[in-house]
Parts: sequence; structure tokens; C-alpha cells
Amino acid sequence: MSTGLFSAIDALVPAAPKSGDWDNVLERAGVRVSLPARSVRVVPRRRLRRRRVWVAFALLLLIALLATPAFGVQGIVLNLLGRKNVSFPKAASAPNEVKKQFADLAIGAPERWAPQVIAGQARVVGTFSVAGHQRKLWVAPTRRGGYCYTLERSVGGCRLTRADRSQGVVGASWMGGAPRSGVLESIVTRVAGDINAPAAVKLTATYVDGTTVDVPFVWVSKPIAAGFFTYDIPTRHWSKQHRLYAVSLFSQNGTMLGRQVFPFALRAGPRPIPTQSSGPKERRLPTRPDVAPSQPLQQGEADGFAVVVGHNGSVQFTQTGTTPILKRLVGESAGFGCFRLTKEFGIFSVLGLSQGGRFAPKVGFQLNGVGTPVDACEVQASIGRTWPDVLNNRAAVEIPFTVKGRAFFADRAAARDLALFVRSHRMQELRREPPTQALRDIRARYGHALSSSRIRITQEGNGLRFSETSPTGKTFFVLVQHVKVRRQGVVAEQTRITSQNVKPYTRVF
Amino acid sequence: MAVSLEELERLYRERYPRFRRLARAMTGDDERAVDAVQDAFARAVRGRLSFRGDSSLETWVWRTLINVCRDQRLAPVVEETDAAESTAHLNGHAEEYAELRGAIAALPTRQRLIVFLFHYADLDQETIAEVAGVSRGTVAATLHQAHNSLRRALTEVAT
Repeated sequence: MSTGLFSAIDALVPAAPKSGDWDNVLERAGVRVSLPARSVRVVPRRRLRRRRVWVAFALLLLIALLATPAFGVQGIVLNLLGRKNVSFPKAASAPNEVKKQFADLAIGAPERWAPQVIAGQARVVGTFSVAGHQRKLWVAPTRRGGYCYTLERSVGGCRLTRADRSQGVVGASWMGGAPRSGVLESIVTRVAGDINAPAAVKLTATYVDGTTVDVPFVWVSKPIAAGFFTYDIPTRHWSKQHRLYAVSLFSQNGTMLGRQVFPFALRAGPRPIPTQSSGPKERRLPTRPDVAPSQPLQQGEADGFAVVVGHNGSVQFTQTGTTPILKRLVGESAGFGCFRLTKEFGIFSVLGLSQGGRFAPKVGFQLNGVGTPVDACEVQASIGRTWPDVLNNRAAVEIPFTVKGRAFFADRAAARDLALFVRSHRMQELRREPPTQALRDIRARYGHALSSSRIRITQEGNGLRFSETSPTGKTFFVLVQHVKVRRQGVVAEQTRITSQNVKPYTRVF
Repeated sequence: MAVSLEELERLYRERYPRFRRLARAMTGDDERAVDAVQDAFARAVRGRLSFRGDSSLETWVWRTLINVCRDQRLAPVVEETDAAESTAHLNGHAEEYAELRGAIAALPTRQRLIVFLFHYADLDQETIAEVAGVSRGTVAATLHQAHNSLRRALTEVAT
């Protein structure tokens, strides 16, 4: 059995807290819980009088603070009411990964829909609880007076222009129940979104049973000038009789500024199950781009295909010959794409767009959001991908335009070769063995194939280091080590990938 | 043969993380997992006087927990959970686990339950056999089959 597999399964479900609430069990069971009697302390009269004086003083202080904006306490009180003001200029800058995510929103978007997010200005403006997890809220302004937001590992959205702000004071998106869990899809289980009413002080969720609850939100100052919220609907409201009906926004004087109602509709029947024939190879790819490639053109040809990329991002693939791989691809699925190699916010990335569908001799589309000139184009085959790879870890067609593009293909082939080997079925088992024995068994099992490959395996500490050097001189590695983990109070040994550098070329597990 | 409250409390305190983890795997949601464990033990407390002793106390409570999850028709999670949420703890490796999640979801119900009991309840094959109401040999064979399916799914993943 494979520890690699075991640790992957293990990682899917997080470890649980050590203790639960036994009193709550007894309460649910209808068993009376007897609490230890509290000791009653007699407070002397003089101390009681002193205490009253302190309470009065604290009250006065609170009133004074509330009346003085400079103390910043109003924000706290607003928070109690539901609204918390956040200064965008004073908020912490978002991590580079997040800035890059905002920048990547442009990829694939047609020009008129391009978000034009000023990703470099992305900031962290709050933390919300989502399904028991603390999630950060990131926002970034757009060049056209709008904003984009994203809640860590959850929802996100954009109001791209100033005009978009007026389209709905409350922009709530919601998550419905899962039919197989017994909760109807029309039942709202989580609601999240943005608010575009500066006067808003209270957001209220109203349930069909007449109960209400105030939903906290943050109001972010200019240039964002918008509010954001996310709220997990309690499970007691996951039924038709108690479901969420609407979220309403109120001003200080109680005027309703906006409302979003969540209609309830029963689905007529079960969701249709997609059939086998609806796979990617059934998708017909466009034969030409919407607009012809404009000058200056990038042109290249290799592996039976010619490609033309225009300055406007239009790309046209045309088959000019055939190869054994292209013959095998007829009737199968393939991915046609081009990419630029960039370093945005200090992160090396492959900025590209590809269209997947049934292999065709003529394919054309727009590289929206990628930018030109590109470093390379390729046709990815849907075959291979087990070690040793029949495609020699290459795409079916690789057309580099630049030195960087050529080097990328070589580096990716090396990284893929290494990753496919380390994550292969047999290796998942061998990785579990003690390093010396594993090394011996790997050589016995793969000796011949390994000697003709570029993969090197060495013992490192309590594990194995797999490495492969690309013809460009770049060395990729994956370090698999035996580590001790404490599980249920028992220390056990597991094998884990503790370090690797094959991203973003490929992935290993 | 009745069970005392103290015995149940001891089991709850000693094994809580395991019960909670299995419930989390079966429901896909922390809040619902807490609820399921609390309800299962509440059922056990209420039914402690009618416990016949046909199996061990622990086996009985494991079965109760599984029944609670089923009674509430809580989803086998890996199928239904919001992927973003359920993979929150994977520290950015969510995509890498997506295939495994899908493969587990695709397992037949009994195979999946036995996998959950083995990995998340951390039970030995003997106890799993008792809980699942099958022979020990069936547990071993089912686990072998399930692991093979999952391994195949992982190794077939595209680069």
C-alpha cells in the first residue's frame, strides 16, 4: 500500500479538535446537567459603592468616546451594529499571489469586458468567518472607477466601472443546498456580496418564519467606496419553512436602501447527468479568430503545424503536414494555445490561453488578456502522461518564437519527466520503504530505464532526492522524506514530499 | 446489559477527534460534523439502557454516528462540499487533491465507508468489520480494491 496515497487521503480531511462539549450531549439527550454550586461571595457595602462609581465612570467614558470620532471607537460601535469602516489607504497590501490573481482576471476576457484592475493596489480589508474558517477579503480598484473583490477561497466579483455601481445597491450572490445532502438547491445556505450605498449602516437577513438577524459588513473607503459581506445561514434555516427570504439594507434612520429577495423554486426533476459523449472531444473548435491577425505578425511552423499570431492577439493554427502523433490525435481531444512567460509581482508565471476540443486541422481564436508578443504556441495531446511518456514529455506540436519559449519547452519536458516518474503507481509504493532499501529496489525495478534517462536519485537524510537537469541547465528536484507525525497521540512515520521546484511546469504528489 | 453515562463520557472524551473526523468526512462540513457527533452521543445516552452488548460499546457508537449521518441524509461530502471550503486546510494544494476527491466520491458507498473508517476513524480491520457488519476478509479485500482504484485515479492524472 502506498503512503503517498495514504497521506493524500489523510490530508483531505483536517484533524479534528481534541475535545468536544459533553454537557451539550447531555442537554441534547435530555439529561439534566448538574453544575457545581457557585460559591457566593459577600461583597462589603463600601466595596459595592466603589464598584457602582466605577461602573458610572466607565459609562461616562464610553459616551465621551462615542461622541469623539478621533478615538475611532465609532467604528467599533458600528461594528456592533453591523457596519465596520475600513480605510483603504491604511489597509495592508495584499500578498503578491493575490495581486497576481487580480491581474490574471484579464486573461480570457474580451477587450470590452477586460476588468482593468489595478492589481498592484490590492489590499486586505477584512477577515470574515466562512464555514468556521477565517477568510481574508481582498479588494482592488479598477481603472474605470470600479473595483474587484475576492474573499479568500470563496466568492468574488467586480463592478468594473463607476456606472456598474448603480446596478443594485446590494449585490448578493448565494450558495444553495446540495440535493444529495437533503437540502434543496433553492435554500440559501450562504450569502455574500457587495453593497453600494454609503449611507448603509445595517444589513438584515429576513427569514420566511419572520425572524431576522443583522449581518455584519465592512465598508471600505475611497477609491473602493463599497461594502462587503458574507454570511453562513445557520442550519436551522436550511428548510423551506425557515429559509432565507431576503437581505435588506438600512440607513441610520431606518430607511430601506435596497433589498434582494431570494425566490424559492422547486426543481422539476433531478439534474440531468452528463453523458459520456459530452466530453471535450465533442467540442468543435472555432476555425478562425473573430478578427484577422494584425501586423506585426509572429509566424512559426513545426511538428506539422503553422501558426500566426497577430499584434491584436488573434491566433490561427493551420495543419501543414502530419506526424505519427497528429495521426493519433484525429478524432481525439487536443488543446491549442499560446503563452507569454512573465514575472508578475515577483512570481514566474505562464500567462497563456488555450482552447480545448476535438482535434482539427484549422483552429483560430483570440488570446484575450494574454498580450503579445507571445513566447510560444503549442498543441497539447490527450495521450501519454505515464512514465516513460510516449510523447517524450513534449506537446504534440511545440512552436517557440523566442529563446525563452524554447527553453520553457525543454525545462517543462524535464520537469514532467521527473514528476511522472515520482508520482507513478510503482514509485508511490517504493517511496514508503526506508531510503537505502528504496534506492536498491528502484534500481532493481527501473535500472535499465533509469540509466537511459536524465533522472538521478540520491539518498538525502531520511529520504530520497529525485532530480533531473534540463538541457538548459536548470535542475528540477523532488525531495521525498520520511517524517514523524503525531496522530491520535501516537507518533507514526509517513513519507511526504517535503520540497520540490517543478511548479509551474507540472505538479507532483 | 446497560451502559453507564461515565462509560459513554469516557469514550466521548478519549475518541472525540476520531468521531469528529469521520463525521467531517461524511458530511463535508465542520458545523454539521459537530452536530452529527453530538447527536450520535445524545442518541447513545438516551439508548444506553437498551444497549444489549451484542457488540462493543465503541462499535455501537460508531454505528450510531454513521446512522446519524445517514438519517440526516448528509452527503458523503467529498461529493457535495464546496471545494474551496473543504480544501481550505490543504495550504494551496487544493488542485492537486481534486482528482483524489473525485475518485473517493466515485467509490461505491460501502467501499467509501470502509475507506473513511480506516483513514479517518483510524480503526483496525477487525473493528471496521464489526462496524460495517461484514467479515474481516471483506474489509481487507474492499480496502485493497478501493486503494487500487484511488491509486489508479491518481496515476492517470494528466500533467
